[in-house]
Amino acid sequence: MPDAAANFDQTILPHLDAAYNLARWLIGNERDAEDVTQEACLRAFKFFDGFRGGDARAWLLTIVRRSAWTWLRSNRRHEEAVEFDEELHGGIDVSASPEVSLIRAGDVDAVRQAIATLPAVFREVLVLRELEDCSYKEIADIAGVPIGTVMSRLTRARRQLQTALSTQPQSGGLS
Amino acid sequence: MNCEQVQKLIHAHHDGELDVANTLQVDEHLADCPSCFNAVRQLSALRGALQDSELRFRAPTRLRSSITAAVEQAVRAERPAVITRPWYRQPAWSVAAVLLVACVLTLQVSFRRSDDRLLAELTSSHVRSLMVNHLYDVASTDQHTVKPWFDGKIDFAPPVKDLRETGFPLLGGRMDFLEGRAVAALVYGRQKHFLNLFVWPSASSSPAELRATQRNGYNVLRWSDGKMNFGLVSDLNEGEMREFVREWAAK
Ligand SMILES: [Zn+2]
Repeated sequence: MPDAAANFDQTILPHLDAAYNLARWLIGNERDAEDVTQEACLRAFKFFDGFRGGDARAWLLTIVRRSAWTWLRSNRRHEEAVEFDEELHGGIDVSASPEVSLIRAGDVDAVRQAIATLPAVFREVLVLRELEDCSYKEIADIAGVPIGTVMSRLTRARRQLQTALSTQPQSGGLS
Repeated sequence: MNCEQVQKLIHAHHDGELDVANTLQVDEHLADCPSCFNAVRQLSALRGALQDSELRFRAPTRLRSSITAAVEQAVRAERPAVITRPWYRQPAWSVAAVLLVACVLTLQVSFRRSDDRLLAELTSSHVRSLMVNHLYDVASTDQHTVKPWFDGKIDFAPPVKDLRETGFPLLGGRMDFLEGRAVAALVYGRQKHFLNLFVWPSASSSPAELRATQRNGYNVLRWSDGKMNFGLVSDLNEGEMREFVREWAAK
């Protein structure tokens, strides 16, 4: 009979990169992201018994996200840790999007920098959607918000990213 | 739909999260609105930039081993408590069963979702290319002009063949986007019909059988020769499209 540790290896560990990626993007530095990821994995393991179906990856990401936000609240400036208030910030802006068709594949540093400057609530939906390929429904479950909120955050995240990238100096394009 | 409504939906459209009815309406709008169409292309460009694997952080080895060690320690510490539970309450059994089911379901669902998204993207790229009058970046019936045109624009060399003798003249080529990556689109004619052949490198080295699907009234044929993936989209009938695929393979 496989023991609990072997089960952990088969179910939680395959999603370690996804968990660390989310923690690392939310927290912004290696050491604290490692601590938060480890804590979340152990917590995931502890509540193994309570896990009743569903997606193991989404479940782990939910726990990682919660731990990361706890860390953000106690370690970051107030503004960063405040969850985004949709009421306060209005609806979707439909003004013309900035011209960014010239993002080059080699500009990884510029892209990384641009993501890092997004507010944490935008960063997390963007990372979950674009880097972890989560569906809107999965993101809504992980972040504990309605799908409409996921959509509006994603729109804003992309818009900000486009603006940030369009102001980057470019040495050439795909043309 | 007006621009404002469309702009609200293009993200869901781009993410393959829009229902069929809205997808059709958005596609229709994109067909004759250059500014909304441009917004879609920019989303594709952005996804292309985000596709770089360097952007995804990977868990350091020391974290992996530290977690494994901590779990083993926790297991050793908890073992006596676990043994007093009935067997079905023991983590190992219940979790193994539940996760096996969950993994199988997850695999199927995510496969179906990405497959569906690809199909939607193939069709809407085809529709857009026709309606926005952007069939080709390079208009040429000469494969020796079209093939080198892709050099430096995409990171692979697509095979380009002229099938004029068999009634499918090459008309040109352009760069397009599918699933966030730049792909080659070759345009062929058949009487008054246009065929878009999308070409991009295959992740697997084994060939994939031809699969024919219909979407929004267009026929989509997909296959792989083990090096490249092919997606052929047209309003032409399936029989003639299969003929194209045979001629392409034979050439
Ligand atoms: Zn419009």
